[in-house]
Amino acid sequence: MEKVFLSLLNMSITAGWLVLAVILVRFILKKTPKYLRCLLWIPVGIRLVCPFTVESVISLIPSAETVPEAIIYAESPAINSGIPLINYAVNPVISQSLAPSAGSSATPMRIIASVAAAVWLAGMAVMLLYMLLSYLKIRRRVREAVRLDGNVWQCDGIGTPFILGVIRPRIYLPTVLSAGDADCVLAHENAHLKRRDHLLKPLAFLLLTVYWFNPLLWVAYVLLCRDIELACDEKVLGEYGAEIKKPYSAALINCGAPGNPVAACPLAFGEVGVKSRIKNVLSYKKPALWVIITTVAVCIVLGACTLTNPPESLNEWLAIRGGQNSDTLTFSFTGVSCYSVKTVTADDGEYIGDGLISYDGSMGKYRVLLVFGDALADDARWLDTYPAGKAVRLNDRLTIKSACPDDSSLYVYLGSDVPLEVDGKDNAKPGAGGRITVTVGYGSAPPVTGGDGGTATPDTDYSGEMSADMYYGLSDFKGLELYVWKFGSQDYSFALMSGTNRIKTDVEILDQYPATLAEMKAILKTYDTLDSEIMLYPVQHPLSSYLWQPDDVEITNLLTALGLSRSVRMNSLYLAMFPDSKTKAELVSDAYSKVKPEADALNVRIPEPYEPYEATGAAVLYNAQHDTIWITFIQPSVTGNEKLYRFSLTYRRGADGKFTTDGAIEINLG
Amino acid sequence: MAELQMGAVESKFADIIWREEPLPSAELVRRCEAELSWKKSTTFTVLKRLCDKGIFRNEGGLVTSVISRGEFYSMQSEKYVADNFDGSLPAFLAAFTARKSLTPGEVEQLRRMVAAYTEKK
Repeated sequence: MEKVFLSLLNMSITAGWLVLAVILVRFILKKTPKYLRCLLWIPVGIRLVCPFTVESVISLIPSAETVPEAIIYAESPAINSGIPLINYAVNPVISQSLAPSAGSSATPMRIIASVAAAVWLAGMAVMLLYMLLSYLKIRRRVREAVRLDGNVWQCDGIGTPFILGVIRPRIYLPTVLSAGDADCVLAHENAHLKRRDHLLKPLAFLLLTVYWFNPLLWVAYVLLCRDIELACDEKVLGEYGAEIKKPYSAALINCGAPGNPVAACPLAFGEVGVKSRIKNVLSYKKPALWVIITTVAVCIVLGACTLTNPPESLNEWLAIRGGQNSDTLTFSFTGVSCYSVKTVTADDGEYIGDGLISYDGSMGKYRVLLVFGDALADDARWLDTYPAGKAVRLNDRLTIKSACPDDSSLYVYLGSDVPLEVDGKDNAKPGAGGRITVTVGYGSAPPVTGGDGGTATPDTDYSGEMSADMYYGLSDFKGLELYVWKFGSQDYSFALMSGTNRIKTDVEILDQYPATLAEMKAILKTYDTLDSEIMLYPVQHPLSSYLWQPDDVEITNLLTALGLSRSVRMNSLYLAMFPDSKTKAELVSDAYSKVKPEADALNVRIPEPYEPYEATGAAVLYNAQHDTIWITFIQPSVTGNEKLYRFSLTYRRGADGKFTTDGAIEINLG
Repeated sequence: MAELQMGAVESKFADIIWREEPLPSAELVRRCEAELSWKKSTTFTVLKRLCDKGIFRNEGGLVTSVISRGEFYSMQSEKYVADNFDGSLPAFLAAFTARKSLTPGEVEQLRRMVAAYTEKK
């Protein structure tokens, strides 16, 4: 029921914008024929009745879903009205005061939504009751009416002529009505019948009973009634010519009864302001063709602009749903944004802050933004991801304390440059209503025992397709290359590439997104490549300080965990020749001593090298093809936007088996 | 004597009774149904209203009039002259004849009426 109410609320807000637009256009089109003004209300009606629409760029609607459905579950409830001013005014207040408190299962928004839905139903019931009662009251009164002719009846106790009835409408005239007036009145009421107003008005009122909570719609109803009456007046004038103006005005004066401006029925003759009607009648002239044409054109344009929804803007925020304490987080992307999300916890369960997943259209990436405090950053800036060079996923264990910059934003990169495949289509940007469902849950995958005795138990059974999307759909014409590396005795990471005959450079390996064991298992399932067409590359990741020397047992376990057989071809070229950690440490401090003077000369700070090197901004890469070691020092980032210096040295293996450098420092900025 | 007014529809109803009286209420209902398309309850509602005003009487299922038609409309004309001509009949006649002159036949009728009236006095 809350969902129904929420969608009705959104539809009415949209219609509200429409009403404002119509009022504006009405004002501009004051001089035009009134029956065309009635057309303007059609889009309003459509938007209230029809929940579906198409998107178009000419839409003037600020937002198709001002109160997103996800607001009920969100950690920081927020609306998206499409108007930044309103958002900035409302959201900080409600996201604080209406945020769910830890421990309680019913969020404040949920309670509010339920109460609101109940109030809405009650209001609707009251409106329907009123409609029924007023209808019955009038029915009672016209019991004593006497038929005059056809569907025209006369009645003593009524103050103004009116039409009653939907299926077999009857015109009721007061008996005190003079003959001359009666003629004009009948002309008017028959015009109503010809225009089917006796159906339109109760229908409009029914819509009002549903949407009673939106004051703009009451305004629209009153204006609609006014337009209907004026349009009928003009219809009569059009049919009978200018001679009828005087008697018609007289009839208006005689019959003008101050009526209830918001009545469902009947269509009363004197209901709408008599003065303005007389003015309109007396000044009426048959409209020129061009006037009609331009008005219709304006109506069509307005309809097109308001019957469609705005297209998804870039930088859409994804709504993350999920129970607060569940093991499973479901991300789903809905048509319009809601930028409040699930909390992300650090490794010891400490609450870090609320996070957002944002889609950056310009970069074609999804990323997760962790925000501390209440800074909802619209100008998401890129900081170095943490740890440098390694992509981290939501639910990954993060130790952020040391790497967290002061300005309370930490970006966790969740995605790649490759466009996502959404719903089977290759889109750079998900369309409205597109649903990407990612389930990150806890499942089981077989543990992998390393040669060093460590056992890795993957803790995510990855069944979604969102984060490691670049590994799906690769061409296996020349087979597949499966890279695996370790950052710790229990920490496996995987990458997949199309088979080539080319050995990948370390930079290419560095760029690979590290999929987990469970992820890669799921990914491999989607290929029907023969196992023998898959080449396994255990590698020493350039940034890893963990020296990995897999043996047969570990490899076998690994393959079994991945669902592969031993037909998989092995390539352990890299590993065979990588220097031990002692050698590595020596080389790194040697490199540092050479690079430091250069850095000082440029006034650039480089961090001191110590293990683990990646935390310090020093990278050690081994290139097996050339049997060289490439050591890079990276300038630490301060603002996250600046270009960074990188100082590199290459060490070659000499005849004595030791690595030396020629001392040529390669300096890069970027 | 309170204000006795009847709307055009009520007048039609009253005419039925004045025409047919005395008549059983069931018969009245039938006639109203035929001539005015009224339901039984409607007929009784209007009848009660007019009875309360003292124009008709419904006793033992028989409907009769308390004030006859002639009496009723003469009361109406009295009221009209009182309201609009300060109760002055000559003033009314003057207004009446201002736009329409009297035919010789009407003049003769009037003269005989005045003569009969003076004689009575």
